[in-house]
Amino acid sequence: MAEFEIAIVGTSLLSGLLAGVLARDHGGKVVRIGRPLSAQRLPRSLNLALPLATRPEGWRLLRQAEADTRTLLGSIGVPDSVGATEAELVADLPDTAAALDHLAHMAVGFRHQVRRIDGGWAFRHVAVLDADPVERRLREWLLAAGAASIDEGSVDARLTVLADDDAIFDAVAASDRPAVLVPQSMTSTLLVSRPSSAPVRRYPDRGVTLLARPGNTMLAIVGGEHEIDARLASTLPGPFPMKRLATTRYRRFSTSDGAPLIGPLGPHFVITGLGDTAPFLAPAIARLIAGTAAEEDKRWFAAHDPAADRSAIADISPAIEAAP
Amino acid sequence: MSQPRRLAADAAHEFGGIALDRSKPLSFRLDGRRIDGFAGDTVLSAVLAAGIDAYGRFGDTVLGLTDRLAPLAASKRGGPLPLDRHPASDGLDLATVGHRSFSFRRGTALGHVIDGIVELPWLRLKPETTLTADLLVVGGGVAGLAAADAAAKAGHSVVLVERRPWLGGDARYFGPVGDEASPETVSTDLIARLGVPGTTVLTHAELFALHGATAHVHRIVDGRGMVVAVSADRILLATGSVQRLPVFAGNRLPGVTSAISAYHLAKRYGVIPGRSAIVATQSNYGYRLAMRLHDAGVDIRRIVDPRVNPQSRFVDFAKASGLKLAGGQLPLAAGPARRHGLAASFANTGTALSALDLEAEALIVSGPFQPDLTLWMLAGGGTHWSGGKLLARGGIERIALAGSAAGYRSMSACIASGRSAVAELFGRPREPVEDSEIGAPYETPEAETTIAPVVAGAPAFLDAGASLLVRPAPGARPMLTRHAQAPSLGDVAASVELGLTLPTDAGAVAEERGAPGGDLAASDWKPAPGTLSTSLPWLAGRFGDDPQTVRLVVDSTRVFARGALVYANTSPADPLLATGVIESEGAPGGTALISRAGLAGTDRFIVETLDGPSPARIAPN
Repeated sequence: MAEFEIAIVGTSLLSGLLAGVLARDHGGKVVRIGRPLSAQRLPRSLNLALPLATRPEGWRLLRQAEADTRTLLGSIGVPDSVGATEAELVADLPDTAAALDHLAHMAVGFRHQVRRIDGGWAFRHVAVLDADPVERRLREWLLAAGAASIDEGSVDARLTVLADDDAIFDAVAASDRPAVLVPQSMTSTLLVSRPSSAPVRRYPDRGVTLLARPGNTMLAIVGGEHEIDARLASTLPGPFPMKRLATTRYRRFSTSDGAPLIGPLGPHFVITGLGDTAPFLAPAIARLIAGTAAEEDKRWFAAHDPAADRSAIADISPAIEAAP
Repeated sequence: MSQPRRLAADAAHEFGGIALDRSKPLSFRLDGRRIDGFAGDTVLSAVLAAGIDAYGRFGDTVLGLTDRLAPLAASKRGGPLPLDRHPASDGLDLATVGHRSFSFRRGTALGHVIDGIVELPWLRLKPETTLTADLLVVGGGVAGLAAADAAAKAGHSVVLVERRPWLGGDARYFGPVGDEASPETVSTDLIARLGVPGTTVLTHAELFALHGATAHVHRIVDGRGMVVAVSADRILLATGSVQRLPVFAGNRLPGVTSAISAYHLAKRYGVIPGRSAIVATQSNYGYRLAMRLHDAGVDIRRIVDPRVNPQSRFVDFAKASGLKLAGGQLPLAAGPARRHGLAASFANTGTALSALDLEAEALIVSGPFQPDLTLWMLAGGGTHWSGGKLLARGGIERIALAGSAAGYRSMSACIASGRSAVAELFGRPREPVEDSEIGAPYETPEAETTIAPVVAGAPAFLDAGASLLVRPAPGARPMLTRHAQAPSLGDVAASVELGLTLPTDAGAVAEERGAPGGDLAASDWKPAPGTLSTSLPWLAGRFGDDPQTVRLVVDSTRVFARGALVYANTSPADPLLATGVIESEGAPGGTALISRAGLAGTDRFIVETLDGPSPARIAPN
């Protein structure tokens, strides 16, 4: 059986970038295990550098990571894969409205442009990563970076990193998962819809995220199993009845405290709860794993370790409907 | 108007049209043009017989009019109906639905500008009537017919629905294998057995929705469309298979037609796609069709096959008939000929250079057959990629597959699978199904792929249906999630062969689009109202263990917005150094939560508002 220092398990863009950075920048003998999803599959996340979070330490890490990721993608040969978009966050409940007010001011503190809209906030020039061109270059880049890449199989590795939720579902039994990790049923749907007021619109209290797509279509990502259609339709501009073009269902993890969970868990190293920001954090997580992270980054990761006291990192956590 | 594409009534191999009554000529109007035909024609077959084979413009290209892509047409007395299911009748006055260009409306074209496909208007109609049966059989090919017969014999009531105007499916195209009886004999016998009490057969009837045990069917009766609900305890899907379109530049131009369509048009209606034709086939059945068309009077310019030296009795017969064959070549591109018809170029397999250039009125293309699992997926069934096809995966309670939809190939296996599936649906032991084929030494298997190299020219479509997905330019983003029409199974299969979709993802891609869910209705859903919590988790520990709530005032009328960060007046505006946050707005100023350490250091603060920094101080008690 082939031997590696680090095995990165996952089909997500984060897993591919993480494997490449670890092999290239940190000299590890790295293998990425996972077959990326075809571009024709319905997306399951937006790859957006806008966290649903209010803690400044996380914002600082993300802003730095965003810059690192732009450099990384330039070195891969896909600098244009990061674009800018406008995103709107809309609150229904008083707690969420208060959180978004704070989030907007935090974003301004980190040089974002925001404006108030009915029920929430609009964020301009938010970095959005188009995964498709990156995925198309990834295998070649991994090879050039010195990382092995296999679709599936077993290897011997000193450290196994479970870099996306499917990998965690597969490798960590429910009884071994920390209580903060909540499995959630998800639905991605492509609809024929009029354009919304912004390319990205998120309703935390309804569990709905919308992304405008070409050709008068809208991608909707909906959390939970109950009242999916009603919650989704309540966020859409019409016209109704609205035709669905494609739908897929899957699971993911949310954390009950709204904060990411990153670090050793049993024999593995797990990465989850990063939401849409996940691929941007690949360089930072690579430095953590390689032991070269800056002190303030180490502090942030330590606070989000599965074994850490999480009382001081709780963040925005809309009601989560746990999957059965 | 004449019928230039109609064969003589006594054409060989019954290619004069077995559905026609030549003693009953008729004429009707379509978009103001007179169309002649015969009793038994569909509107589409009569239009094609008249030589009209162009639907309209799609971007920079022109799309052919086919049984898989044609506009709806409406009369003054009824709603829009599909041309291929609409029986032609004398005196009809029809108008096609869609955007037409007046500059492009004559001769062989319907003159549409295709900027999107019109949604079928019956999708949201309420059923006019409901039929109830023990078993609903979808598909009137030999598998569906055998299933209906088996169920009726066992005493069950049956409703069989068939989209096309005829029963018997595609078995006639393939012919018998080995010592099988002829498909005509078998079909005629099976059809005759359906005339028993308790069995209802609906032709011209397309199932378009499945809701649990109830299916919605659009049916054409006496020239009028209606929706019929069929409530059945069990459903058998014998939906057959669909011939895929070989992928090459210009593969949807007028004059390009699939072999299966060419066969049915000739056999049922005596209609041919051109007086001269090139047949590009990757299987032996294409040779059989070419020979028959040749016998019926079509000038077959060449039979082109990507396989090198294929072995088949049909190949031998074609050679003996004097037809010219070209092996090891596949279509590279098609375009309009200089004077009339199509010019097609063919490349040696593995190369991208034209090795053979031919002209003819028609290019008949024969791709592989893909089981039609559209309704299977609509019912919640899965698919997976295996052997160059998407095949059914998993099971659905009270629903079964049979025939070529279930992956069977020979006629006898399709018939046996229909009977076997009925036995299983009603809790009886399954009958064994043996799918016999003539071995490779005698019949060379069909070519695995029909993907041409990329060349300049007209777009290369992935399939022949309404999705209109085009092969992307090299390096460009695949489009299966960007089009407002769901891709067909043929689109997904071609996408796999083009390397755009991983084989392991093909089933999931098909399922995501094959079962998208029903229409979404408007909703005013909102979460149950709540009140602002006294303890917000995202502020826990944020400003120390014991932050204090204080009133901040300002020497103006300025109001501090909730969420604004509060800094000591000597601190830079770095959110990591913030000492507090505005919890609620005041008039002026606001109420802030500030750390003990912050309060110990000063009573003067800076509040970073969206309009810029503002000095603030703690209000005196």
